[in-house]
Amino acid sequence: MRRLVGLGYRGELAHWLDGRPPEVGCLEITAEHFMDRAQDQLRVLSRHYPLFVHGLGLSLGTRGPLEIDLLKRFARVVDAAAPLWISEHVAFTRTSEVDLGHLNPVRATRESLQILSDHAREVADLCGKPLILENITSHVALRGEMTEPDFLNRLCDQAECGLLLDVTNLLVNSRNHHFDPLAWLDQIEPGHIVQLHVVGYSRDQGRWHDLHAEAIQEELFDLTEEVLMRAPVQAIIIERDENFPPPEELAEELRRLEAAFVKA
Amino acid sequence: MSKLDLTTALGRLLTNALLRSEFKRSPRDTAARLTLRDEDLESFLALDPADLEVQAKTLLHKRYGEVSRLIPLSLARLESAAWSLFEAYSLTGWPEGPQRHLQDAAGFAEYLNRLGHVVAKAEIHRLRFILRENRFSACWVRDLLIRGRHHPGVQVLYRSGGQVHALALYLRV
Repeated sequence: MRRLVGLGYRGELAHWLDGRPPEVGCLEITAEHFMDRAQDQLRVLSRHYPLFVHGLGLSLGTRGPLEIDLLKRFARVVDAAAPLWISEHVAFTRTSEVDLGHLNPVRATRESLQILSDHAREVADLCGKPLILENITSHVALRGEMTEPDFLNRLCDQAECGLLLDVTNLLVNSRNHHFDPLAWLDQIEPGHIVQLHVVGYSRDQGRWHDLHAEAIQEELFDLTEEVLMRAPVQAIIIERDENFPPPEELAEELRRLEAAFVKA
Repeated sequence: MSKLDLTTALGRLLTNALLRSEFKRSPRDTAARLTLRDEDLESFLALDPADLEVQAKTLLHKRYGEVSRLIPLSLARLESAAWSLFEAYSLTGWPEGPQRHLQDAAGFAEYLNRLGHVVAKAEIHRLRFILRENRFSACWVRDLLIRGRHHPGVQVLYRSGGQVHALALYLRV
């Protein structure tokens, strides 16, 4: 099985990536970053790296139809990038009244399962690519009809999709909502996990945050190794968005994740 | 009249500080006023007001991040007051539509202007140019960014091939 380690593509990293650093085995493209730009750059990147396309704003957890214009723009990015697979979140970013601009939790209910799986199938069908869905971090805990792992397992089955397990989100949620991340992991069907996200967490005023702005901490490397020992993960992406370190520091993180793959 | 589902109610709470205050005082009264669906009532009442505030702040930080990319110099001039001013401005509403970040930045700049803060004219000129979809515009500004330094000069903006291009005419002293 091919196992890939890489980065979320950001403009700040472009110069370094132009040099084709050997540690970078793949890239994840954020669809929204390329919707208003010429997409020739994606075609160039896809010649040099295996790509994944990651969406932020399709709002799969919102009742009612998907925003069709946005979905078409997402599909155009997918077409230009020719990714191995595409991904979105188990979340809503807008309601019928307001666009919140970021990810928010959906209640773990049978109704939400139906909404998310219908939307997930629609996205995968339109794009003609396998879709995987990501667990999010949220400060708000919603009382549902089932546990989050149970909900994610059922969602993967019902939507016939995989899971993009964000290791940082799992750790951050476990700290803010006081649960054991390994017990959570034990409840996830390992075969569902296709890809991982990881980046350092931040702390502020007693809360843990997923700001994508810190180096990966040791406990996150440990938790990543735990996941790799349990599940047939195919790719790991470091999701750094802010406070970019020198390239050598990112390269070292990539080497450590590569070594974790080998160890598993 | 159809009743409100939890997602829509959560959307209202997270984008409306006054509604969150009302919820904190009395979740039950807020639920009644929003006419929530029966199946969502228990979850709604179980929401933690402190968690809602942190989640709302997270959303506002994302919004602020988008604005700061569009008017970085104007925000830098505000120094540590920038965030609290943005928080106060955010009470006036939540931006909507595909150009919401541009409109948000323009709205915040106008808000700052009304309060007497100096905003970067070059940034405002560029925002207005994009929002009004003009083909050409030129404006005298004091804050043209040239090789990391600010100069007075004429900022020329034009559209070509669907993209916005900029020229700067200034005297090098």
